[in-house]
Amino acid sequence: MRKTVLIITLPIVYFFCNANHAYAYIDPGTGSIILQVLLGLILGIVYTLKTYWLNVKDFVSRVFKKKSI
Amino acid sequence: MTLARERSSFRDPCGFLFTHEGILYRQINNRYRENYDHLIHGGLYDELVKENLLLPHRETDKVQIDFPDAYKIIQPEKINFISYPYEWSFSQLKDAAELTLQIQRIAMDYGMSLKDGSAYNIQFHKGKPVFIDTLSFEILDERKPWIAYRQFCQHFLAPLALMSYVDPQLNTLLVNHIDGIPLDLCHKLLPFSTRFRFSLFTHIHLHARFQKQYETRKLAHARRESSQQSMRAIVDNLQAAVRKLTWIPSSTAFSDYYSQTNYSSHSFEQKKEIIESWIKRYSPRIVWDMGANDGLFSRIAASHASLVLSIDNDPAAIENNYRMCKAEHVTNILPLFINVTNPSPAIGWDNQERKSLGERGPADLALALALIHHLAISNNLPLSHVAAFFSRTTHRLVIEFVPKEDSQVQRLLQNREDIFTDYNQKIFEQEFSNWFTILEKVPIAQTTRTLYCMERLP
Repeated sequence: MRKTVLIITLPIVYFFCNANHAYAYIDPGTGSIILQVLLGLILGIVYTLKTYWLNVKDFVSRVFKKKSI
Repeated sequence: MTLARERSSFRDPCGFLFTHEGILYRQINNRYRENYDHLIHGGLYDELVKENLLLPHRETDKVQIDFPDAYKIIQPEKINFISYPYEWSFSQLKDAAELTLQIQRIAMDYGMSLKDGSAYNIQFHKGKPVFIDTLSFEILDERKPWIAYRQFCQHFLAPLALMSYVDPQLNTLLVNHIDGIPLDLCHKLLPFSTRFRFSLFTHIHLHARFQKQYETRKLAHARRESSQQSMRAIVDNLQAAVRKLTWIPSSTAFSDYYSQTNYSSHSFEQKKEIIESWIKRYSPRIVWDMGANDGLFSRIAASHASLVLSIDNDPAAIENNYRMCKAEHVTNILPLFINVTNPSPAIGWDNQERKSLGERGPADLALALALIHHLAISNNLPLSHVAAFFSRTTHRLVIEFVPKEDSQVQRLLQNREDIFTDYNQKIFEQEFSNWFTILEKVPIAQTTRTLYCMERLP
């Protein structure tokens, strides 16, 4: 649940934030990795929802096709 | 035996490039053995080479070397000219980005992944972008996120977004930022409206914020875990992001050049014939067409040369030239966005990672058509400097002298004082004779211009 809240709120929180110029000399990849993991989750959910939606659409269209026959 | 390690090849401990008797080789170190064998024997190498996505190589045991830790020595197919992403047009960089993502997708199908997303891994070869770094493939760890994600965003997505939304010349920021445009800099430069595009908001703006937020934090291993589905979703999303970025060049500064010059159709045809006959006579391997505009004369040269660099400092001309080459399937013209009066410098560690334009020469033959007045008058370059520059740039030179009486020169002088007392044909010939033998000189009918064919003094 906490993760879901994070996924939804993080982009909103950061939306109007300005990043200062950063020279990431210690671990330049850390932020990129965290973002990628979160983004992967979001895009994965979108992908799953899209698949479900296509299945529902497919089911509905098949039902109506049958009725019209 | 002359062995020299390439100065740019030091970052990756899995191997390095070296030259031996003028031929470029790559040593594969033992630590890369497992990945290399998977690439070669797992089918990925064959698939990528078959699709012309990866530069082919052959293994060799002819080179006896004493570098330690060698597993294999490979000889990659020769590339005629190495160019850099700050010299490419928008579509060239976009094609290179799409190639990188396409290779990542295919690699995942074969259980491998790109471990870096550097734009320097791409070169233009036979008219198309091709991936050149055989050491970039590693066996896929499905729990890990894509390790090259940050680099891909900095090397490709950030410059493309800036070129698309701000200015098509902004890939030149890569000269100052060898590991790609810092995302916080890109975040500041992009217009506010780009925050409303999901892909740019996430991969650039939010990414910049995350980099700043977590730059000094240690990351628990659990938080690094991802899945192959997530990686595919990210790559898919990056592909869509790149695909959606566009730039339509408006008319170029010189787009109506040929219709507004001092040429009638007859004299223009004569100019083309003379130039073609000279190029044909010498059958040069590499031609540099300097101030090429949209590449009309590059196309003539391309019929008689292995490769023509079509160099101009107008991004729209270079973009149009590249699009035309693609549409016409021309494979031996490489349009490059370079300013002749400020050519690409040597950059990187010790100024030896990426070579200057001069270090990548000289050309066998250079074309400098309708260029001299821009150098001498627009840029105040003394003719002695121009002659010395071309003597370092090329063995043979086809150059057009444009006198002050020409309307194009008059246009350059119309709002400034004429301080160019030494700009005349006599001094032009004197200065160039210090460096070149003038082989032929032909006045162009119905114009005040003259074409010269020269050869560098021994």
